[in-house]
Amino acid sequence: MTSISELLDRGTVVRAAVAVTLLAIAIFLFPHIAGSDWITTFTSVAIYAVVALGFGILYGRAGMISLGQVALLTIGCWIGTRLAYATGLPFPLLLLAAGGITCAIGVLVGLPALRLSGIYLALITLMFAGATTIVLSVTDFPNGGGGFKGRSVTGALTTSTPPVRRPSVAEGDVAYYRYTVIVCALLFLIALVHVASKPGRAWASIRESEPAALAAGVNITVYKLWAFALASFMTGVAGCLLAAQVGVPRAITFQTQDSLTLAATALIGGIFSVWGAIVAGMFNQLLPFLFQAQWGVNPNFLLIIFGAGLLQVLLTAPGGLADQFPKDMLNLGRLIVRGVRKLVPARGTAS
Amino acid sequence: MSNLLAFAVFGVDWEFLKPYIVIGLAFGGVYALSGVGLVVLYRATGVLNVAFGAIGAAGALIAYYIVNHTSWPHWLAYTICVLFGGVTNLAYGMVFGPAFARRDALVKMMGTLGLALILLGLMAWRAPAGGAFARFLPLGTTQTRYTILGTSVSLTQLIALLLAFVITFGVTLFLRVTRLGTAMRALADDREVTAMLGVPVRRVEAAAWFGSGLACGAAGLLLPDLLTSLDYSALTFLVISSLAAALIGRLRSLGATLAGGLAVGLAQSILSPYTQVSAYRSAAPFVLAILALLFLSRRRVVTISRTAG
Amino acid sequence: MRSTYRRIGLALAAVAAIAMMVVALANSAGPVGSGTASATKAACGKGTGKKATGAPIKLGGIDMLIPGVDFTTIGKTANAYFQCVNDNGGINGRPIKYTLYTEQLNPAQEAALARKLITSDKVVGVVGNTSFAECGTNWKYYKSKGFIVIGAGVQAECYSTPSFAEVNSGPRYSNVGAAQALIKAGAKKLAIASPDTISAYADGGPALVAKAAGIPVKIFPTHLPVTDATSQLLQMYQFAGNGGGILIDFTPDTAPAFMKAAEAQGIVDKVLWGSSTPIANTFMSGQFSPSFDGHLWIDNEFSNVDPKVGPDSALMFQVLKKYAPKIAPQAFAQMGYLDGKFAVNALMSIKGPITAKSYNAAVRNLKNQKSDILCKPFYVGNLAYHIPNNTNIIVDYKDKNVVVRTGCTDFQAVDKAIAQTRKWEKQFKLN
Repeated sequence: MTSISELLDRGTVVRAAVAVTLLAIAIFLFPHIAGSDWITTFTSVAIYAVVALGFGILYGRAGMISLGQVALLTIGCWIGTRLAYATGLPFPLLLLAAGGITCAIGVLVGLPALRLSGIYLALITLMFAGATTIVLSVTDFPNGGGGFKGRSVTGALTTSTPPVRRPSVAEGDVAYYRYTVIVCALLFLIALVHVASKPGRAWASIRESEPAALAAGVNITVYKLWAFALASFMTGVAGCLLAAQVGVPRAITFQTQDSLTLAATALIGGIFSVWGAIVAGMFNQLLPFLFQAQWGVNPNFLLIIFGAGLLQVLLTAPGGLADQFPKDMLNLGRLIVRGVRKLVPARGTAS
Repeated sequence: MSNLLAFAVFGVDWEFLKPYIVIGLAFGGVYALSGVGLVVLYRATGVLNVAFGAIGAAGALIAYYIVNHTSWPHWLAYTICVLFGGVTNLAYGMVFGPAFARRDALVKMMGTLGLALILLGLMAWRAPAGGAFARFLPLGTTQTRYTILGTSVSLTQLIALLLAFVITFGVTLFLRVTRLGTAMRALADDREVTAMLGVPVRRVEAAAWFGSGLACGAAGLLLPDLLTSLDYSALTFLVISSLAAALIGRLRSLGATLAGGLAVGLAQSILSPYTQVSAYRSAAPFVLAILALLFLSRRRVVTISRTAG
Repeated sequence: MRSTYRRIGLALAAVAAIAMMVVALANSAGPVGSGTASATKAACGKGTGKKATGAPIKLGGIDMLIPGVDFTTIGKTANAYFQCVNDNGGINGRPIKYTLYTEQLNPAQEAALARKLITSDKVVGVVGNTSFAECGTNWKYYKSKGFIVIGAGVQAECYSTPSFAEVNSGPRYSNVGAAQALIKAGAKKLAIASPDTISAYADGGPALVAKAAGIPVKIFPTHLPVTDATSQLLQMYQFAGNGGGILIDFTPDTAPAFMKAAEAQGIVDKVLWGSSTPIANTFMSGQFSPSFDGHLWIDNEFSNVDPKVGPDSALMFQVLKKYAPKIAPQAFAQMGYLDGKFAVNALMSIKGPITAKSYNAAVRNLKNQKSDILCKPFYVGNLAYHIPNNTNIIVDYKDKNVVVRTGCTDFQAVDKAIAQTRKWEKQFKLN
């Protein structure tokens, strides 16, 4: 893992430049060439990329698999919705509050789970996701009503409550897309800073070998909790962004299955790199849109693709597409160069 | 006297609770059955197969097709359902088992998650649901009913409960007495040494995959009858209740798994009359599993994780 | 040695795969309704018999499709009607081109699809939508674009926003109809069960009716998939008591659990059974007749599925037979047919060029749209919300069929929305 002082080496600078360029294209150029349906889709791609990044931090960096990340997303969405209706807080504060409270919940869930490892941790997070889904299906999302749950029974409602408010500078779809991309980029940056500095090194050593880390004086409990805290915070903020994007979140749209497909897409995208999280977001949100609306493919194929992709990643390409794709492209490049060399006779031998 | 005790414990009249206990036990039997299969497979191969629900559902769909679209006898359909569970499990184990052999339990489980997603996608694609109809797979034994403790119980429910006990005791005996069973226990203890001792590891594993697959198929056959409708999506995710049972059994004790399965079934059913919590009773398996896992982790476990991840 | 096992494994995998394929090839659609078509007085569009060949008029729709629930039947039936219209002169010689997207309860996807239809595919109208969540997600967007959707609804937002005019009553009002009928039939108490995700909305209506009649009512929100119907049923029976009313609001994949449990526990004839529309079809009556004969009060938002009911019903059967033979004539088909029919009526009423503006204005102007599939004429109007279908029939099972128990009955106006709707109907002479 690189330390901050090594960040200034050439490779990193190039990577950073590429990232900044792509970000600029995404924010400034993309809305001009894409229709509003693409904008909406890519807003949720950004949101789910953050969730996948949280998953990647937990698993790729700290070695802990959580099958309940979408449950945390749901909780963040709920908190954001409740606060949006109940308070007049400016939107950035809503994001922070949703992130903070979700962070606290994530740490609370993580605390007893710390002693669990591998498979047991995965199972307990899955059970947490399932329990959350059920509790949510009873309480549903707030819609402007009073009380803790904030949901008024629609008996007396004759017109719908307004959707969850967006930041005043970003009310339209395109503006909100830009806002979301910027916030997500900030979250990515926070994650990157973590990975490049002390926590990242601690996570790497924990992942490699816990006893060795323990022997080296790494406080395993603190760093594991830190990973939970970071992942939960990011997912909570993403949840609040989702609430404002959707406007009228409903419990029925958040299913236990989503946590599983998120894990699958995060792994397929690649848990060891930040690009992998973006690829995961695309798999999770862009691919269904492409299947439905552009290519007319039966959406149930997606489950098959996710399942097969997951198997493939686990077996042959643990780094996921983000890792595999450049390697494949490199191999392809080498193949092409070799082929060209064979076809084109060497200089000096041509007649 | 027992009424008073029950009242003290449950806060409700025992008379009142009787039917819920009966109902809960029937479902608990199926969760226990599936849970036992999960545990045996996990101990013998290290794979916690979360695709159990999906495989059972697929088998049930095949049985449904045979019953409704062919003139084959029903018992053949049911047998095929159970066998399908065994065959599919075995196929996965033979094809993917070796590839995952050196990986840790978590990765092995994630592999079966991939299988579950594939099966779910296949079923949703080829056997779409309508809105105006549903699929049923009633078993002949459901016609026969008995009145037990004031509630009407079908023969199927009794069979489910009985089967759970029979399978648990049978498998425990098998593991203790037979050579194959002993070999499985040896594998569970230490794979390397067992292989070195000349035990045909692959064959033993194959037996474990097939045997647990049969339990999975049997559960897949019984559940649509108990649930009344063949909802493959619901069936796929019911594996979580079986997982809860297996976790209560600490993934090692079959007897505790049996008790765990019954507890999960009972918990869901008995909570129905309590208005405050009734709406949340479907969360009972999850809560029980979480408690079981926390109990499992009482002693701190330090892992030596593999770099391959 | 290892390769032998691998080969065995692959062979077994092939066997399992073939077994699945065999299932796949089976057509697992539900039973197709029977019934011969009577003399057709209704026609598709103008009924000219000539194929339309002009520039296509683009319409679109979004239906939910998740493992377990498939609403695309509705859009596909609407499309079948459009194709019939296209074969009969179209709209002033122009054919209708209908694009149906499916969504998987992902709100971002629902939002993206609505935007794709309106801004990218440039449809003039959205019709045939049905989903558990789409009304909530998209109502504001449709309003901002001036679109009004004719579809079939489930959620509250389908009946409380200006952007939707649904041909059905929705679970809340269908439950109201059933509750009214049960109370009229003498139910002393009422136990109501709906899926927990819609329970607050769907059960609030019948609860109001029961309260107005001074009858004790208890709501049982049910988590789907239901695993212990017997427990809950016993609870409901405990509350309702002998002679009480049990109202269930589920689709045919959940309702049978309760009904079979009732049969098993021997309480079918001890209570009065009410239900919303989804179980009013021949598949269910085939399963639960004769045990439930005479014991059901099912509120049906549409007429009985029978070509003899009238020319529209007969035409629906013909349209399905010719253009969508795989779709069974049941409630979903009725919804899709009506969606298509009223959309076409709106199109045909447009005098100038057909644009999004003119189409949606025409939809808003729809009044007195008669059909024998509905009790009272359908309408839209320029209202804050639309509940045009507020008069239903009550049906029961008899001899494996569905029979009418009570003719068209208005919903009681205890619900403020219904009361307001009736005022508007009188004020604007909508039906």
